[in-house]
Amino acid sequence: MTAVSVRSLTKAFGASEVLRGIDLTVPEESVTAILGPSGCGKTTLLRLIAGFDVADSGEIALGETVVCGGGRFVAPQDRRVGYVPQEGALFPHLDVADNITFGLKGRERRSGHRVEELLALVGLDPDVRHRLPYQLSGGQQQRVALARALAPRPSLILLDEPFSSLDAGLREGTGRAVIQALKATSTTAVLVTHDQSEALSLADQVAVMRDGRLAQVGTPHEVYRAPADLGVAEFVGAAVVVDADLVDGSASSDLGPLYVMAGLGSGPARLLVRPEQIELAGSSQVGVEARVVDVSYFGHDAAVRLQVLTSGRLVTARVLGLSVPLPDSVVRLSVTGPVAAYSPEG
Amino acid sequence: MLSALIVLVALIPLFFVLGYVFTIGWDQAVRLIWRPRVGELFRNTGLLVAGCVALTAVFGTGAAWLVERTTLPGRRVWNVLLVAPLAVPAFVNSFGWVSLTARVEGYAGALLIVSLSYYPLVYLPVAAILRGLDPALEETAAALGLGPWRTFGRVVLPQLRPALLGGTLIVALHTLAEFGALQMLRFPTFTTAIYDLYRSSFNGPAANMLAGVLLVSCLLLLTLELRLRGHHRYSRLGGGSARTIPLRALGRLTAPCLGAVGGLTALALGVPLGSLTFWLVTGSSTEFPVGDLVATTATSLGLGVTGAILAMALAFPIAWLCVRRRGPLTVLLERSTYFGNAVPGIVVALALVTVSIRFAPAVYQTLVLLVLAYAIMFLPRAMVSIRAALDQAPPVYDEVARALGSGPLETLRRVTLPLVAPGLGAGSALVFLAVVTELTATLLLAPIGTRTLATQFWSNSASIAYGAAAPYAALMVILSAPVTLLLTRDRWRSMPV
Repeated sequence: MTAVSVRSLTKAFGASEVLRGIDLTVPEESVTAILGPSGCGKTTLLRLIAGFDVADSGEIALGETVVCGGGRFVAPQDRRVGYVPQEGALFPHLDVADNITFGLKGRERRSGHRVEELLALVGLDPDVRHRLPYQLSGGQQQRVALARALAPRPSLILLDEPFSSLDAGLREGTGRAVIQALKATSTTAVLVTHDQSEALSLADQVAVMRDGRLAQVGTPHEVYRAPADLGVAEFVGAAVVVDADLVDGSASSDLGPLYVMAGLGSGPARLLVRPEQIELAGSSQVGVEARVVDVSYFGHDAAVRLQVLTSGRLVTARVLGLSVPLPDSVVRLSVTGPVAAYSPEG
Repeated sequence: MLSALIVLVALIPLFFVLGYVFTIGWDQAVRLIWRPRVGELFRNTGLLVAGCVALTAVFGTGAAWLVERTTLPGRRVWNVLLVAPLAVPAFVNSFGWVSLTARVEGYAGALLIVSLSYYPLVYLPVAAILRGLDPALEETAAALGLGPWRTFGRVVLPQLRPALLGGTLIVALHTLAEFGALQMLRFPTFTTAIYDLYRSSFNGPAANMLAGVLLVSCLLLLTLELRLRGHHRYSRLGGGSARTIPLRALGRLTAPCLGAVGGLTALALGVPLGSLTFWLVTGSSTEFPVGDLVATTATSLGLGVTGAILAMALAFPIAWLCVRRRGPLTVLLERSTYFGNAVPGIVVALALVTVSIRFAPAVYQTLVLLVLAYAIMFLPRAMVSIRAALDQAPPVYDEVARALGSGPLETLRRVTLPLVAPGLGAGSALVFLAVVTELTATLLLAPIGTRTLATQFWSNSASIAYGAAAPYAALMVILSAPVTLLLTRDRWRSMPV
């Protein structure tokens, strides 16, 4: 079953085309992240799904129901879609309980008996129910906003950069709590973000968006390890790009021999090496000699910038924090695991 | 479309002056302006405005600095007391002085009394800036080796400049438009001269041309103010919460500083209130016209409520467009309504008299015209309050409510109105207050037989019946006090006065 299917969707604001033909399928009970730089159109896509704007052409279906396209337009209040905007946007004149029950009807709203359950769902203490939004921290506001969106039991939740306003320390915990609440209620979610690690760590499916088009849709693993092109590769993570000649699925380069994933045959190619694929050894005989230029030490790991002695090329390796080489020392590097290959034209 | 129409109404005074110059011809206009009498008025007005700007800048900034940044005892109380003179209309203030001694008549007295009435207009924005200044800036200056005085001059003062200029420009506009206080102090300026010309001889051409000169001066000041406003922002840069500002210890200067603030309060508040009390006590022993007081209060309240409703109703569509559909055209519409800020009541009144006699004689000498004048004059106040209120309800709340299943009407009822209501209430209160204490346009436009607190006060004090005038003034002050208190709260500091 698919929760959302979007076909050939376009949208322009005046002369600027924001969406240029989007096709996307969101499976039920999954989390899909739409990942892209700011201004790529990802928030517009979310707003079209919610019904806040009308698409120029194309179709949006929620489950079996077409909500936009073919002359039909279902108003946002009739779509049963939950919406969590940036910074939560809790109604400032209502306390936490009234915010959470806002979308409920009749007796269910007045009794407020679901407030506790929903607060527990998003990992909040029942004591916060009488607080006003300004008395909550950013992370708490975000969780209440999610509880409010979940209360009417929508089939789909849309989250617009929900964690970007939070401190780095709070972001991971809040993100995990949100995903747990979504999974616990079997709710499908579409999450818009510009943060790669957020998309890769929270989503089941990642859709990479660029200039109003989806450049790639896949699992986090696919998008990271086998990006559709080098542009996607560089957007979802750090990349070392190596030019080399392919011969039967392997290549020799100034980083030593590389084992290439299936795809391109023989001939010139551009290869994608992820920094964590570069292994460093102090005294082994295998590998290519390189001088350590500098080290950014993060504790759990470190980014080591190296200059390959033979070619002068600068590369970055990501190594565990336990074994970090000293600047100016000479080490030997080798590339482990398969690398993705692209044709040199682009 | 509707908004454009409203703006056209708001611009009637401008069309009136332009149209007048056009009909009588440029040569005739120059002849009317180029007279020794006009030169004298120009000198008087210029000297008064310049003096008031300088004096209010000193009073306002000095008091704001003492209250916000030093260890002056009783800072909260002083904050309220220093804003309180706004509750006393300038013409009531001069009544307080002139009924005690005739020595305040003339330039020096006018300068002192008008400055005492209007310095809170500088005090409020400057105090708001001083409170919001990032202490890190001053600490950085200190770390770079600057002493307290040089820090004030090179770091604090430049940041105060927009607030100071903005505040003093408003003072200048108020001074240009001031009629009651100056008439009472027998110091002729453009505004009082226009009134006299109109009242004594119905000398239309001369009055209208003076109105033109006055309007041009006001517009120049307004343009200046808009330019300044465009170039600064009040907010602090960078994230993180602002720390509280360390206060400068006054030490041995405590007593003199207390004396200065106390003296200012005594002159600006103590004298008019004391004088009012004195006249209330001595005057009411003979007669206390309860029936008259109730009737005029009712008229004033009625006019205030109607004026507030009309101004808010006219401002709402424009403000809504500006906030929700921002574009070059809506910005232009918004700017046009600010024009009312610069138009003295006397010019609005003259314009409406002339235009109504010419085009709509049925409304001349009716309350409709008077309420319309109020709406034109106080449209900017209504605009600013409604804009601030609408900012409290950004579209994202509508969207969340829609996503939660609320239709447009339910969203309006459950989300937008509750968020906007306090701001709309405050805006209406501001307009109401302005209407109740408005004198100039009321004197010219009130139909014969309509008596408001301001006009009753005026006719009594003009015939030196000080005791009879006092109760009306006291009622105006009492009605103004609650709204003025609002201005001492942080939220309302940016409201126009």
